Amino acid sequence: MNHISSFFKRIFPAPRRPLTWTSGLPLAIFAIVFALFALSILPLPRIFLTNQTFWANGIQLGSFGFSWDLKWPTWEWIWDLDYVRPWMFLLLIVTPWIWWMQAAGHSGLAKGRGEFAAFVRLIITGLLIMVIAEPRAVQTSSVISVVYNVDVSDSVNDARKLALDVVADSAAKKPTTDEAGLVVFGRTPAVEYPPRTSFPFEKFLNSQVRADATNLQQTLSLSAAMLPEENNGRIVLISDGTETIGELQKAVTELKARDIPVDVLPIDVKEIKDEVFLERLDLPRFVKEGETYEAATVLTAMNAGSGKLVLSQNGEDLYEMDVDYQAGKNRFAIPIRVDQPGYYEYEARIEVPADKDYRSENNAVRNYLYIDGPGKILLVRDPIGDDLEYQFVEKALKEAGRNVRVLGATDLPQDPLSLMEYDAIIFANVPADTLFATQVQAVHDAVRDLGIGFLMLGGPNSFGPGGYQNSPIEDALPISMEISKRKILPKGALVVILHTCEFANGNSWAKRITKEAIKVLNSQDDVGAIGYGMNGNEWIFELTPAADYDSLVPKINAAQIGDMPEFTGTMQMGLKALEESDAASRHMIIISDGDPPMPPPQLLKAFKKSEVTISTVCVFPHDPRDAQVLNAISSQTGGRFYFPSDPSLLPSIFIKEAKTLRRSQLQKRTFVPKLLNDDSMLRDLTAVPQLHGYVLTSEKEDPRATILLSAPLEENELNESDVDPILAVWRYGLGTTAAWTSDLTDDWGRDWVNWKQFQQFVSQMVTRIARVKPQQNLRVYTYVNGNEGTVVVEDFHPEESLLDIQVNVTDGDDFQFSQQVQQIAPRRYQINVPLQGKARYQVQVNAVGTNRKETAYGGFIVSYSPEYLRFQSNPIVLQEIAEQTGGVTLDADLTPEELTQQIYGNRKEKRATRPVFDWFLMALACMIPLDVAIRRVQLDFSWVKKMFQSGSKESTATMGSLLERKKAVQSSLTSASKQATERPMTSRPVTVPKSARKPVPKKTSEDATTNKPEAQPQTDDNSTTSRLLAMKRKRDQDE
Amino acid sequence: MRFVFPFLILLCCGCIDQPEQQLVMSKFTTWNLPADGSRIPAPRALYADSEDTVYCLDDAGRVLLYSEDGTIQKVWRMPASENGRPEGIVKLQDGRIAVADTHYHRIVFFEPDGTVESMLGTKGRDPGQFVYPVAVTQDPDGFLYVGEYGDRQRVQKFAIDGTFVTEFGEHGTELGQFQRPSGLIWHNHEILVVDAFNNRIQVFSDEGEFLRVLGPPVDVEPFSFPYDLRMNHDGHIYVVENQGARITLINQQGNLLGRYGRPGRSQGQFFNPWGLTVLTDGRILVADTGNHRIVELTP
Repeated sequence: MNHISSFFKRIFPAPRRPLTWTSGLPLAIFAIVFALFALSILPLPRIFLTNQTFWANGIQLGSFGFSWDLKWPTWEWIWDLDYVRPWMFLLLIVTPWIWWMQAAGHSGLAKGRGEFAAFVRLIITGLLIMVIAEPRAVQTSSVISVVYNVDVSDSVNDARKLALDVVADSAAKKPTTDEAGLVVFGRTPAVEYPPRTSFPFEKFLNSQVRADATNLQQTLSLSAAMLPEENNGRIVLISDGTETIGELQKAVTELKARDIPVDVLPIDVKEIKDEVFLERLDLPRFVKEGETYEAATVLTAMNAGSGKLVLSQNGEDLYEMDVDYQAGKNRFAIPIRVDQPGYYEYEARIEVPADKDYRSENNAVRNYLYIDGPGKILLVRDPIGDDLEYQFVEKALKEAGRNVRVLGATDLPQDPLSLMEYDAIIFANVPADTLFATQVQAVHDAVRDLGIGFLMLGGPNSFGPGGYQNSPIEDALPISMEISKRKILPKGALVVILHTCEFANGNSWAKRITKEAIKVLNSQDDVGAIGYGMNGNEWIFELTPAADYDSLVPKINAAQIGDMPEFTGTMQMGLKALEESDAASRHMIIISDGDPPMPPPQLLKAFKKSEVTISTVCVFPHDPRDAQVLNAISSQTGGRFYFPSDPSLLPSIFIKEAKTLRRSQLQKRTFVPKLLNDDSMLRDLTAVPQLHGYVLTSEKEDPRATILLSAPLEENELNESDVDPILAVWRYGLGTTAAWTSDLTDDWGRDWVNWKQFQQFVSQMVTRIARVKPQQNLRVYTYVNGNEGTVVVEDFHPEESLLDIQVNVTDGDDFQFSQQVQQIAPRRYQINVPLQGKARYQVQVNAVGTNRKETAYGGFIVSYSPEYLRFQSNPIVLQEIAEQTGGVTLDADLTPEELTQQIYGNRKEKRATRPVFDWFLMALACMIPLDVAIRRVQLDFSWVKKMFQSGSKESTATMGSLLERKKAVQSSLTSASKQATERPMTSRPVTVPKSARKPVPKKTSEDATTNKPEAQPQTDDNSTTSRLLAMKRKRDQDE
Repeated sequence: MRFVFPFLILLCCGCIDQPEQQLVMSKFTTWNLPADGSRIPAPRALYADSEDTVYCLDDAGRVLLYSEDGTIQKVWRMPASENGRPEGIVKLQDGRIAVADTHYHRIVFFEPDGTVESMLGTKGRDPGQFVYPVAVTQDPDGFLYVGEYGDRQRVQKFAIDGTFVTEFGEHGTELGQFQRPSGLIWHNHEILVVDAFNNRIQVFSDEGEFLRVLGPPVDVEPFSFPYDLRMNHDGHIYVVENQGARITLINQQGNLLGRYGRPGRSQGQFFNPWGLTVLTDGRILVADTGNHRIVELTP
């Protein structure tokens, strides 16, 4: 017991001064205040600044006049606090001790100040405990936030409009304080509108989603993420429920955890009475030239009927037959015969009356045959270019015994499989804007994955000026089209004005074409875009070097492009920026529906004076006559006018326009190329002739890229470390690519095409890059069943051995599959590949065995999306989602009012919390210096007293009276310091504790009165310091 | 005073960058537009008659009649809207409704039940013809005034039977010239025209003589694409600014009395508003076009 008492006395030592009832005030007041706030009886003010830039930029001083950019802070009252760790309030047990140590005089402070200090310290302790308990502000809301999820996949194609009608009807009738948003989904989801009170549902969907699959998981997860935590979240799912990809249960679990109900509206696919479709087209596994084989197709029908079956080969109808089919599966065989090696794509198509067939999308199936043979060279030309651009090369190759095929760029296949028959592909001055992105990607993939060679010849439409910068073709070539090192090229500046994009997917198109245009520019070129956004005419981004593409993309994606009411303001904005730019070439592109009035003539004159050209693109005008305004703008400023019939033409227009700024990369000078590295390409060539021009490119920063020939430096060029490539080569993936930056025509290369070794040079160049076919012992056979492909690999090597086989499958987009193949029989390997809908898939088989390494190729063609094989909805899946999440199954036959009532009628108070401990931390940070100041800083507060005595004469003391007062104080200080010169600290009145062994004589009350004011040191010799000093003096005397 | 002084300093710091005088609205509510198939159209023009029936044009080519509490009374369609949708509406003294059918270059007169009564004008530059008529109003004597922003930026005056009376204004930035005269009101034998892209309000006599320019004083932010205007019962003028995303109240001398709104999609915010009207009890309705809603403001 004594131990406990002793311990208690150690914690709470005996007071050094008598306690009064006022001693308990700090603790009492703290307890009351803390309880009031902790129990949320009193609100907490939370101060914040609405102007975020204040924090970012600090206080901004204007250049002149010191204008302060301060924003008035605002605050909110927090009425309800919740705590994550409420048990931390047990720490309040320390507060009596903190109070006791002060109240009992152990802090060494005077009573009044000590009480205040104790209160402050208690407050700090309270704040600290609150921070540890992690307070959260509680908000209650009865607002309902709804995200509509509309299935736009192919399986609900016909019901898509119906679904959107339902959304529009119910959202238009929602309570105005509730929020509505829209997500559309197919293979992936896309946000049309985030949940807001206003629901500006335009007539067009702006999102572009792939419709060849249904992914319920992703759309539900995305919608859940969009719902504000503080409101009653709700998802309305409108779908046929036929999920093809994704893991729905994951999303449902997440929704249950967040208490987000999903109301479902099953889309009933109308009852299908008649349907005919082709399942697959079977072709022989291996064929030989000149022999007849059988192509077989499997037709499935709901009812018996008749139709016409057509088989086409490489796009040309080969065979037609009238067929009678029975309900169920039917097999039809058609004879085929191939006489030459090459790639043959077959399509079987069933033609039946429309009333006998629900869906026509599944009426055709494709497959291919590849007959290996001597490789061909594909020479791609510009369809509207000069024949001489390719004819010299074609002649030279044919003389060298090569099998050459010349193809216009527009006819170039769009998938790598179709390019398998070629050993090399040559682009002869083909501009990028004549090609679809899929064609460019196909060439790239054919080089990388199939080992086909690629050569780009120079010319005004090649390389950078041709629009290939930042394209897959640039990736594949051994040179870079970026000119940033040595050559100081005239800089270009481009401003894009997005006047209006009121057409289907208009905003998506606008953003896409802006990005396409930037990608074509050189990194030093400046680019800016203007739209009509929330603040009217505004820069989506101001003139910025195109090198900052990555930082511009988020701005473009976030842009809200409204219907701009006039040109003049934006044209002035653009002109001003272009005039201020140091670019030599300045250009503007306007995309518009043409309805604003013609800009004033003086504005167009200003453009002409500043040599800024304007090209205009007219899209979906209200009146075809409106195009005249745009035509006039472009013709008066020296630009071009476009009137595309289809938005899909827009990217090529913008690429074409942007690349006009890159003409400066054409170098027209005469020189003899300088040999940098020897190569088989240049073997036995002597005395190469002169060239008269080339396209400026750069060396690729990759040691694998080898520059064979370069243009010699000009006289004013000093840096010899950089070269202008003329001929470069490297290996890219499985293929070899080369770049010849001059042309091989009668222009720049006129001396070369007439050179006696020209044929030898071209032949050696193509031989160097062309695919080399090794002895092939592997045979790859592929077939598709629904959405699953099967790869069968057979080994015909004379010696049987176990192979380590890896299969890689790609679709040229984002699909990638790579897996080890299992052996299923001697010399036979097989694997099933889950495919992702309609596409052409490339299959690459890499086999490694004892002393063997082989690569073989194949492919799949999925002719139509599996969505088209779904003929009924799956309401059970939807109902389960509703049941598991607490939603309801909506009936499409309800009136809009009833539907709205079902969605928005179930209202309850939602309690949401958000962390506010940051405010407590800030308060804590402010209190700590105050705590230190109270204990360590002595201030003269007499002025406070004076201020409260505002009515008295003293409060208006003159300078003279103040000086007198100062003198008196100084005098008393001097006398006091004479009495106690060793006392550096200000003395404090303390009650003499009983334990004081050697009390020094007290000052009389009279003395104390004399020593006022408070700032003057008091001669209270009972203080600890005094006692210590007295002891010191005594010891000194003793010594 | 010593207490008050520091607070005054703080207050001044905060006030330096405070926005201009704000109009105080006690209530901000919204009216929905009925869906039109798979879309929720946006309002473009508003007109309230003396009985507080609100006439609204939307960008689906519909005429919507609302009661003063926001309940839809009637909906009808324009005769055609493929080329574009109308932008100006007024109820005439004889009960008909006149609509500036902008993209069909004519004025369409409807009976109160929504049937087309007659049409005025064809496409052209001559008197009595239009290219993109955008605003229409009527004076107490029955004369019609039509503003257009197409080939000729002008205001034409017609007798009630459609006879051309006079015209004034042309394309330009000088006094008496227009760039999109998209809102008109008649007051005391004067026509007030919002000259949208010149960011001003011009005042003409109802005979077409230019009188003066109305606008905020030079030391406050100018109009930013004023699109429409209406006079309230105090004789003050509300102006809706499309680019500024706000409404501005001025008196007849052009002095600024206050502003309300900023760009956005929430309470107290507008997104490219096109039109407004004032009800007899002083409530203001704003066609908040970019947000596809009608905003009701109660001062």
